[in-house]
Amino acid sequence: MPKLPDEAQSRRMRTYEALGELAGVLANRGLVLIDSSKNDSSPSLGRDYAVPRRSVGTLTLERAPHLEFIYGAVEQQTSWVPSGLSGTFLGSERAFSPTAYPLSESTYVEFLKATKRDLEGRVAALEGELAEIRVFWPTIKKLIEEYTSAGRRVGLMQQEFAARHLSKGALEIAKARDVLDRPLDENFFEEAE
Amino acid sequence: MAAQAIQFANYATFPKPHRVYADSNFAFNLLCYELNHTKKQVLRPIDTDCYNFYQTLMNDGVELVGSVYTFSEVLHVYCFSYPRGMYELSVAFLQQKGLRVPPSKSQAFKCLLRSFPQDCEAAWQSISHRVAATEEFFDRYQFRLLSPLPSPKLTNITRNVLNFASILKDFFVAIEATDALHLSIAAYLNSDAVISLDRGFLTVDGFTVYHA
Repeated sequence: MPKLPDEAQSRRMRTYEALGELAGVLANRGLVLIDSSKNDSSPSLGRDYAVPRRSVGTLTLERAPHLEFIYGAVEQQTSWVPSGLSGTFLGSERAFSPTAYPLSESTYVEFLKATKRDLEGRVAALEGELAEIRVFWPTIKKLIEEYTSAGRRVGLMQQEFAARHLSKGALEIAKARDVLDRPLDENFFEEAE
Repeated sequence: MAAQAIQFANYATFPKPHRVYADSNFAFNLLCYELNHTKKQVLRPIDTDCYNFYQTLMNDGVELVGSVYTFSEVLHVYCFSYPRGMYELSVAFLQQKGLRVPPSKSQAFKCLLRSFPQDCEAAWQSISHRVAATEEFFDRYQFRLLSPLPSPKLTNITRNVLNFASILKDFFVAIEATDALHLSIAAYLNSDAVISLDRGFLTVDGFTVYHA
């Protein structure tokens, strides 16, 4: 590696320190930074960290642009990265927008491709679920029809019964006719059943 | 093990239920309260306790559910066993005629029905308002009668409910067969608890039972 000027070397060191903290935060979340210049998955803080090309654990491509943004910030303005970088930044609700963070065209294309793959996967999963449900559809339809017709029949029976018996006011009649002369026995109900 | 028994008085000290299943004896005591609350001297303390507990449930927005068994047991007791019901009228009729009164009240009713059908019909007409009154009572007190469910052709939920009731009856000697059915239906209807004045319910573990 060619020797860098002192200022550049110092800047690089500060970058590595900040990235070290970032790696710690990511590790706590089950993420690992991958050095894209290497073929294995061992953690590294090499120069090519800026664009992680592989993900490990729960690191997804969806998050990769965020990471690149962080790395970009680390490279261009080291002091921007807080010394006690907390996980709240990564968990921020700020939605990713390509216009908000400068991205290279290739990274953005990769991001869109990954999103497309993700959506295609979801569509396939939903189609699978639909195919499973479709098998039961005739039964469901039959149940609904049966339930509806039974409901209709019961409704008609209720109307007919109400018309014949005029139940409204029956409780008032009962209260007038059926008041007790003396209290019932304590176990009246059990014995009466 | 036994059921989690919660006395009416301790209701507030336990988590509030969303849905409770009412056994027929609780419903019947409410009916007694409704019929007799203007004549306090004939009210039993249990009738008032049941009514107060009912009010607490309603104030808390608890859903009160029951089944056809809740309804039919209340209807039967009110029409036949409650004072001046069919049993009492049958015995009185047979005595008035100077006939031998069978040892059981139900036999007296059957005797009246078979031997004096017109008199039996007249006796029934004098109290037939009780059917509609029972219906109206369940409506007014906002009981939701949820069982059985439809779809007898495609599903056999009833059989499952009966199977569970059989298991309960098999394991717990203290509950009667119909009470096992009440518990099974309550479980099927996803009730948080059962209200019953029957002590047998308290022996069945896995259930929460409100009692007086």
